[in-house]
Amino acid sequence: MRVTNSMLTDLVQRNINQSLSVLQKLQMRLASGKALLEASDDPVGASLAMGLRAAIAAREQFQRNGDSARDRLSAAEKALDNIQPLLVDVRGLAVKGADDTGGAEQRSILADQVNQFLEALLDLSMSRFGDDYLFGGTEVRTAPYTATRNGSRPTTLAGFNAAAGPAVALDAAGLPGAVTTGGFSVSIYNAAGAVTSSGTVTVTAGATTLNDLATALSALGLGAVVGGDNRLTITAPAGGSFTLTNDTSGALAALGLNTFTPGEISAVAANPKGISGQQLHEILSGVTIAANVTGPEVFAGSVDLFQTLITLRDALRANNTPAISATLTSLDAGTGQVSAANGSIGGRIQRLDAAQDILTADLMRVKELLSRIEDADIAETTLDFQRQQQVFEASLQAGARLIQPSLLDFLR
Amino acid sequence: MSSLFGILGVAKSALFASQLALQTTSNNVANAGRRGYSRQRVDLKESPPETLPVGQLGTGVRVDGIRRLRDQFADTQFRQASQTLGQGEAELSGLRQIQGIFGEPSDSGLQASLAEFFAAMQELANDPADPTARTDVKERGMILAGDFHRIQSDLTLTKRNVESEIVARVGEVNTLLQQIATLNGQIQAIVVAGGSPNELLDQRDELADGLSRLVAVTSRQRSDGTLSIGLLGGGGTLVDTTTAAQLSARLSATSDDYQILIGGTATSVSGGELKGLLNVRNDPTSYLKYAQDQMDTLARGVILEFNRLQASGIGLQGLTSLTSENAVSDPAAALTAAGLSFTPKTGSFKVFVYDGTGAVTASGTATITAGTTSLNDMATALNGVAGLTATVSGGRLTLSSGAGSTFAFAADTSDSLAALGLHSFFSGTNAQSMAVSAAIQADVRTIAAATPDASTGAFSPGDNSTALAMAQLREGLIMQGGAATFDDFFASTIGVIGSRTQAATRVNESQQLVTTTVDNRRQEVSGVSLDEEMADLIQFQHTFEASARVIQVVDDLLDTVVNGLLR
Repeated sequence: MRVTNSMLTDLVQRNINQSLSVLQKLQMRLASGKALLEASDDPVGASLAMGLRAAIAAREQFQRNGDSARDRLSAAEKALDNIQPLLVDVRGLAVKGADDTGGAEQRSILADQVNQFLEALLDLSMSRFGDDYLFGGTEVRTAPYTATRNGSRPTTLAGFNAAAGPAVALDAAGLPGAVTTGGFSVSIYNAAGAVTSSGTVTVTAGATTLNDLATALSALGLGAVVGGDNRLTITAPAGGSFTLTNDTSGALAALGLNTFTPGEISAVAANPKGISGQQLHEILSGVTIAANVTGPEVFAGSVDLFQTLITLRDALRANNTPAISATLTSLDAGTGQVSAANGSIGGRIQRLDAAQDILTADLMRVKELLSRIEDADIAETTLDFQRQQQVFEASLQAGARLIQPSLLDFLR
Repeated sequence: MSSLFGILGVAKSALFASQLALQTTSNNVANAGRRGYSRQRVDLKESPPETLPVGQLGTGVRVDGIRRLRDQFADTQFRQASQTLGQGEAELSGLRQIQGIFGEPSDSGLQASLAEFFAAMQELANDPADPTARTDVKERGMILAGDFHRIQSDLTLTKRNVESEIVARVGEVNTLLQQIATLNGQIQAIVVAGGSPNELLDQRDELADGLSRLVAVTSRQRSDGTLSIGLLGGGGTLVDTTTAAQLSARLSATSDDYQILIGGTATSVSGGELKGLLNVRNDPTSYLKYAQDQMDTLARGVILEFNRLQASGIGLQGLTSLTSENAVSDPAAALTAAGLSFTPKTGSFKVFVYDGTGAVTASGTATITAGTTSLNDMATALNGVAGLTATVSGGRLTLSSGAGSTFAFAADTSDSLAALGLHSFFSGTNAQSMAVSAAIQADVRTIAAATPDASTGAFSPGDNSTALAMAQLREGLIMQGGAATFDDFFASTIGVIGSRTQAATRVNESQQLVTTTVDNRRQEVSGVSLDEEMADLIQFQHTFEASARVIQVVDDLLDTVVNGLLR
């Protein structure tokens, strides 16, 4: 074979170029720490790596979803942690009130305490997580429960206690309070708050019956009806209101017509748009968990806690021990209801923990896999780099020796 | 009969011959570094001998010619290899550009944008009433659409660049053809006159080398020294003696293909850089068109799926007015044949009208029958819902509810809302035109995270069912007829482009080696070896010196004869 000078220079140039381009690739690997710089470096690895990256992103998001669900559930749990002792306290008051030894006065104090707990319960039902109502279902921007409060004067008043019969004298009608001879004043107000009529109703021991009382009140312009359950219900004329004051007979307290206190909660109603919607969080691929506890689950499932407390308060005011005792059953059921909700949260948090464990293990595995595909083995690459550097130097030296000598050097 | 003058003649011929050889050698040395130069040799022959009774007597040396050392067969092989290499390099360069545009795998490409968009959607599902989460979904959606747009624009730009490169290469080819034709004329004149136009032949060979890298040709040298060149594969004569054909390139009138034409007639090219560039530009199975098609398919998948869910969902409040983003060609034609980019199918959707407090005041159902229901029919059906006004103008449907009231759609099984672009998440119908819809850009509260109850129309701000469904599209087997997720589809596209680039790189490396080997073969014959030339130099120097010595001897002899004998 005939070897020419340009063949030699071409060869040397090519070798140097080749060495340099390998060196450059190795240098990029070392600098970036990645073996897979372009898809063409390893096409199968590249699509695999992309799949793994997507999987990592998704799993990390599932972790954040889990954290978000946990935050919400923990907030609900905290609210429930306040409701449990509240119910225990209320139960204590109920037990005290049901005790026959206590008097009407003491029960009235207990009623005030129950009322405070009722307000607290309503506040708790409006617990928020950020801007979201925790117990509002998917109606997160509307309070789940709203209270109807008494005005300054009753418009209608239902006696809490039942008499033995409509025609039985009140002092002998088995009412939970003594009725003596005396009377009380009645004032009737119009919509503007002006007194339109007033008068006095007298009660005579051994004579005045429930029916007599109704007749006397009707004569003053009030609607007074004795129900089939022997309870007296008084209603003001349309748009108006009334007051019953200065009772010297004890009849009003005995009949349980003393439960009205201005500004107190008379009823609690749930948001009519519905508060049972669930907010599902995806915590594992395709696995969702409800991140909220709905209002009914806690406050108004089988037992309406608000109504129970209202009844208890009114029963205490009306000095009605059987009714007070009756609320104990509801309170116990209510405690069970809250416990069940709490248990459900606990169960969900356990599920969350399990899911997070799976995700953590998964992430480690996937990241390791990705690293195996994408990352450069630094030790190996460094060795490769050094070896290639030697090759490069050798090719430079060989080139220098190959091009240098010519016949010219040896002539003369 | 031998004579002193005869000897002088022999020496003189040797002096001339070695002088010529020395000049040729020095010319070889001078051109040793020049590509395309073929070394030359002086062909020396013995002068015709004088026949004497004692035998033949030599009369010196004569110059037969100055010959260029060239292996035609090696030339042909080199040019074939160089066609393949030219094509391969153009294709590889195209693939590398496409791969670079995608830039995957990386933490900042389309795949990352898609993942971040889905993550933002999950965050919205975690807190559907939160305006920050909504804004983030909008921003991530815009980045995603922007990535689709950027990739598609870059691919289109590359397409344009390839086109102008094709035009530039065609120009180069034309110049080369013209130069070869001109040289043909000059060479022909010298050859016919019996000369050997070595330098011109070298020039022409170099041009032919350059030509073969650009386009696959066949060439044949005629006896008059001219080189005729034809297009390999497509046929057609490029150079015939002194006439050169002119190539041109332009976009085909009938398809989205770039074509090469000879004198106005389309022809095909079978190799060289031009072929590579045409492949990068036209081939729908790899390269630019493949990449663009894949991006369009993916973008359309994303647009349709998100719009489907958005259309049947509801934001934090109902809609007050709405105009379809995609116009139909004929409002009286069936929606399935009205030129919509996405085709509706038989099905129905519900519409609810709400008053200021969010209570439902009216509801209705629009039924779409494929092949029958037109946009006008749909408008009529929607107009039948109390409190809703539907008008058709310019192929677009506009819906509005009365003052203070709002409306919403639910449970669309016909895809007609997504097809028309009514209450859509993304506007546009392909990767280039994809964008987050103007309504969402203007007010993120319109992002549908909730789903209205299909029977009562009730909806609430904390309902995340639509957002969750959107987030779960990540795992949905939507692409390739229900075989792949969006991620799978994109990763496999990158895989295909990557493996083609890898294959092309390998083929190119080996083709480079082949070309080098063939070129070495050529160099073996035509290349200048300085050592060899030095040896020649010394050889001819000595011949010259010896011949001069002979003349001196003859001079002495003549002196002896002339002066010695006369004395």
